[in-house]
Amino acid sequence: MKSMKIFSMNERIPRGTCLPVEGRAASVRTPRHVRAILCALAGALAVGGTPATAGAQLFSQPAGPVAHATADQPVEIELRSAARAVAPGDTIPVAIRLRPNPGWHTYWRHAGDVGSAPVVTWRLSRGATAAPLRWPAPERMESPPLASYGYKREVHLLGAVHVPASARVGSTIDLAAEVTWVVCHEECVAGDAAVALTVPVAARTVADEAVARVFAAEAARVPARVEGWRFAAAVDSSNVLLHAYPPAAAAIAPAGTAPRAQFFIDSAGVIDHAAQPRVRAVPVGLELQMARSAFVAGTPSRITGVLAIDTAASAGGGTLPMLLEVDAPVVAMAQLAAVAPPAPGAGGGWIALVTAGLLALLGGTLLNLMPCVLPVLSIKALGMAEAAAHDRRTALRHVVLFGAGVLVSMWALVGMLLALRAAGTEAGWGYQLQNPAVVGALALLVFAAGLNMAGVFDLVPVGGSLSAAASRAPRGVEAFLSGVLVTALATPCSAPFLAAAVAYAVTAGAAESFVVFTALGLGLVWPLAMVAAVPRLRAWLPKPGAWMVTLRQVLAFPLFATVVWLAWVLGRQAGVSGMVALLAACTLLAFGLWALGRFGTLAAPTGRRRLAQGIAIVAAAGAVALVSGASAQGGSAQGVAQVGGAAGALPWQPYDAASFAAERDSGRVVLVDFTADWCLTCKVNERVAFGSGSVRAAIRDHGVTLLRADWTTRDPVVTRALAAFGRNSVPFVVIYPRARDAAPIVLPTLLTPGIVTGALQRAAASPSGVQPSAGSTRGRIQSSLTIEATP
Amino acid sequence: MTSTTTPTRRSRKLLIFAAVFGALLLFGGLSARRMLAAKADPASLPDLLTVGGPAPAFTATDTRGASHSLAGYAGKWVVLEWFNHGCPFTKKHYALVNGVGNSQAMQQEYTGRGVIWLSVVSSGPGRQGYTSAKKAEDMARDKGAAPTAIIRDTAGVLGRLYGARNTPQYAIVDPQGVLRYAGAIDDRRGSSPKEIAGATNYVRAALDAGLAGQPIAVAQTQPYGCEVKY
Repeated sequence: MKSMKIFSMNERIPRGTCLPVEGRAASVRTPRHVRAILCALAGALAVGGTPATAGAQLFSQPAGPVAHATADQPVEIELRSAARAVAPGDTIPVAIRLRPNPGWHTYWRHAGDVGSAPVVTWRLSRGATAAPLRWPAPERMESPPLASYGYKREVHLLGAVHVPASARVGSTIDLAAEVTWVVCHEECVAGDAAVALTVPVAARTVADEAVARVFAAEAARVPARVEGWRFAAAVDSSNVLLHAYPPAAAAIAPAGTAPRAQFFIDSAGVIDHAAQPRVRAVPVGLELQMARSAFVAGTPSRITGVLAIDTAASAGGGTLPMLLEVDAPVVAMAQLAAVAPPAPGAGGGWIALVTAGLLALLGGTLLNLMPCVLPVLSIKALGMAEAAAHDRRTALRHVVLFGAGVLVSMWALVGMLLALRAAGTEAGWGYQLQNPAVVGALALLVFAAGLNMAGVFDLVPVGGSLSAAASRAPRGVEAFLSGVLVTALATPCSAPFLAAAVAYAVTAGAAESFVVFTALGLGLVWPLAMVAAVPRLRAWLPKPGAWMVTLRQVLAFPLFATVVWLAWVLGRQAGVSGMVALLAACTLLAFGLWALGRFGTLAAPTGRRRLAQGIAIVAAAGAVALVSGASAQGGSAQGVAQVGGAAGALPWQPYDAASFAAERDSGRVVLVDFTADWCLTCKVNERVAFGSGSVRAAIRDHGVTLLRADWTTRDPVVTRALAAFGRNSVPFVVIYPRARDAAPIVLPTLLTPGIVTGALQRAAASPSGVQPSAGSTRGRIQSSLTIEATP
Repeated sequence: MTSTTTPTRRSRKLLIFAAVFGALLLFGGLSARRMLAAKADPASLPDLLTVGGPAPAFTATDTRGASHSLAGYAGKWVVLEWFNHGCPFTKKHYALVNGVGNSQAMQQEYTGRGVIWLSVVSSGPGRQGYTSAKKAEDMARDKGAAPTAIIRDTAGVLGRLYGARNTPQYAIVDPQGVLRYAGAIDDRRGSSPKEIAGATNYVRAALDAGLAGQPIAVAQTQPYGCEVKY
């Protein structure tokens, strides 16, 4: 409006919005006479400059498709149509043409450091709809230390207007666009105009060939989202790296030359627009290294924009560069290459996939030894000992079924992970234990397995002596279920390898996730399979005997200990009432299974056996109902799951983005502990490392702020913070040094007091982010820091 | 025990088993270490300029010849606003929408709450945006602008000291002399005053939080607008 004309004494006067849209009032929101009055008022109110001439100019402006450049406005705007007539239901190709005077330039959809994008608002006949504008790739306008993206040339912003099928032949379609823009040379001028034209509705569409050719030439400069290209970005404290991988191993750069490319980012505050990207070839792709913007804290989750790559043909200037729309997820540095496509033959993509697969295999193998699998490992050891007592075929069958149980559970997990990701939920390794109902069900399952091993009942009612039961071959169902159980319990144990392999799977496609999780399962199974398949290895196992019954009963107790741990997790999630519900459910289940074991054997009369089985089923159903009922109260758990508790005197504070930023601002060393109650390794770390006197002393001496990011229940803030490091599992401990620009120190998964004190030492030794400058201000800053630190 | 193996054979087996087990653990541990070392480098942390650090000390002259030094304003919040009367983005925030200008309203409100508001013109002689002191005064009066003072930074010293790149651009200094905000006025990077109604005003948010003793949520943003014409 005219109110924009402030301080216009020695500045060019932008053309106002008062340009009347030719007499097609139906297509224009404001009736003509109202606009005229508004314009007159605006003209009268205009301050400074030359209101009289400005007003006169406004009313003498011819209405129509073109708003010409004037002495005050160095750009010409035109609304163009590539159709002379349009059929009902068809589409009119349209464009907004902007032609700046020589030396001036207009802007792209993201302007960069200076200026702003033109804004087009359509006013169309009833029923007609406009498609989003397509922006040709811009050029860089440099003015160190600033740079912006725009057009020195005449540009067409391409659009399309869809005409309703109900349009009557013989009527007209009114197209009007309100355009606001900024053009710059050394100074900048803003302006706005309404441009309009009319297209008759006819039986068939008639193209304006000359205009259509112009549009086609411009369309060639519009970047495309090309199928098969893969992109990924990573961010560190000083750089943004963008990787681009073409479909197949297409050669990007002419042989023997360095690749040349430009990246036009879509948003502010991510890269330094003025710094030229450093481009280099990476296996089967391209890497652009761009300086990070100094302005904005935090890391974006995606980087979008336009990538222009010089091809063999375009390098000589003969043709346009390859223009691609980029939408790149931000991943950890180490995972950048993992996005590379699986090129035919030996390519980087295969290497990444095979590496991830091998890591997953190794991680799965190590899972056999993790503390949270160890109790269940007993089931497998026992099953193996039992199987070894029989022929090789039985042993193999057992292992195959166990493996099937593991793999099917792994595939179920990957399916859920992919489904959650598709639904936009952030999920990570061990996420299933964030749901109290799952924790409760697991506890019941482990408890039942413990009762089984203690000899309270047998799944298969053969009756007879305990020794007979122990020496009998394990049944297929049991082997399969023990595989499921092992997978379910193994998942929260974030073995060191899993973090990378699972993160890769989560960021990669469905097929890759499948491969990685399958490898994980195979890793879990293969040691057992080897024992079953190789007779010589099997010979190592001790001969079966009565001792196996004792062992089996003794091994029940690690399972009961696991139940205690799960009950504690559930207690943290669903409070005391939830934990009590679980204990009641366990008692009920124990009663049912005892009845089954006491009266359900084949030796018992049929009627009594049926009754016992009925009691067991009802008790089990009741137990499950109790647990799921308790988990429904999970919402009230937040208060219980608060920070503090047993960790004792250490002043842990809950993590959130605001408190984190405030603490960082204060120039203190900040330690963030990503943890969850269901993560045993985390608990061990907290006892061993943070419980030690030397660590406590270091925390006190260096004035370290302790933030605890609790992932016990799903928390998007914590998930995002983890994702910033390319992680989706706990434990994860990171220390931020005093200096704001210093890289954070990531601690290893298993902590010792020495590791923590060493890292704190280094973090505290780095120079403070508060640097002394003028002596006069320094004293005041010191006092400000103490003030900020108090609350 | 019904084992048929001799004690020596059994202990040899045990030894081999322990060796294999140990090797596996060692390999796993070493690989994990390398893995973590590789992952430790992607720092995702803000690379902020000097927000949170001491604001550079300055002494500058206003349109009336009076001198303003940051040290002299100790104990008060100070707003520095880079200004160019000809820049469409500055105009956007001085435009009267329903009789109210965005910048004028902010100046009135916050100077009323004891904040020192310095509008800084860093345009060099002969460059766009450069005016005489009197013209600057007249324009401010015409527009109803109400800063504490208009600083004439014709040599661009103050602008460069604070890294001013755009008009409009803001720096906010707290009573202890710490730079607490630097960047854009709001999150709508266009030139039309119509955008102001729906925008998140970072300067208001920072001042409101700071004056209330609260932490400032968004402390640094990328400014937008015209270039500063040094």
